[in-house]
Amino acid sequence: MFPVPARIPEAESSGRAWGSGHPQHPWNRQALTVHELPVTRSILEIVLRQAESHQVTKVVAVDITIAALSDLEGEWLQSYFDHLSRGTPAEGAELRVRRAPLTFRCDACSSEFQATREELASARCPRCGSRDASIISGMGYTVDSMEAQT
Amino acid sequence: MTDVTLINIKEEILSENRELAQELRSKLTDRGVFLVNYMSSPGSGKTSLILRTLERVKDRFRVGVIEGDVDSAVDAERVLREGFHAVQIRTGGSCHLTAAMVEKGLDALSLEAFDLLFLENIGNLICPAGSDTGAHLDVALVSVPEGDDKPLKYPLIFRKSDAFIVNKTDVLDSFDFDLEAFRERLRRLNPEAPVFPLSCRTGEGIEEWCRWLEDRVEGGR
Repeated sequence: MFPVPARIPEAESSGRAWGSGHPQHPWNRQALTVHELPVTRSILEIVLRQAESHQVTKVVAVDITIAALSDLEGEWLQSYFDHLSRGTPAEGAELRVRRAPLTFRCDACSSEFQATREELASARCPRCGSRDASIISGMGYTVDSMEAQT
Repeated sequence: MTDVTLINIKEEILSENRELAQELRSKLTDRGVFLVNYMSSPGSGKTSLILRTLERVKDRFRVGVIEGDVDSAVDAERVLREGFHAVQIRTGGSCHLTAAMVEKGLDALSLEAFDLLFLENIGNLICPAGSDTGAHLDVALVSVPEGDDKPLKYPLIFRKSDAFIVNKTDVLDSFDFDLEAFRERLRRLNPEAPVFPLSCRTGEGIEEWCRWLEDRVEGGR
């Protein structure tokens, strides 16, 4: 028999961006309960890194694209962002979330077309009517741009 | 008055995790270790499938398990009781394993002693789909009582995985699970990935799944 090892520590923040080295900072508490939180942390890291390099005094809005297949909720992202960004130049910034559509490529005629997540099972190729199509994009998420005061 | 300017960014969110996962994958490949990530809802049979598979492949590969759990070691204890190597990662509230957590789990094992490692992710169909663990192969399980509509409700995990298990086929007669409808829904999301209907309870279908896995491990190491 092999012993069950002692508790393996939580993964720590990268420490690259603002405040993450502080033990009382929310990123360093064991509070990663839902998937929106690590995503929000990553968004804030990107925004603060950009804010620093552009000598931004206040971030007004952040534009984000979330792919159709992702289960992220914009409302939760904003609420976590409000919490995590306190005391940073990004405090009070509005997250403007854009849902990117799914892009399919028709297996029969190779033409590309878009559909919503709800049409996942029913979408047909608008050119030839085939039901056989493969998803070619619809997964990742990006920070596209931000509006800021310098 | 201060001017508001638009700053173009175009940066991928959570790219740090993806980069670390790719590093882990290369490191494991260099050491000749193949890592398989098992994902499903709670109660679909991840631990049971891992145990059945370990039993079947243990003479061919040196095997071990990394168990992920929010805050218990129940699954790792079960694997250890069966006489296999296991380490436990407790995520302390997190709903999925990140590459950084997997790295700590791997650090707790001597990689030289293994050819094949199984990673049991946290039980849910949403969060694990968004986080690359560094595994060579992602396997998603659905059990018959859960229903055949899961690919429609949680498309990301079904898009991302490399193989699918339909567990608990011994109770197919008692439920409305339509295997063909399930395959049809998957085909659109992920036409290449194979589907293995099996029962961890009776052992039906285990052989076929293990043969396919063994080929992948041999080809990927």
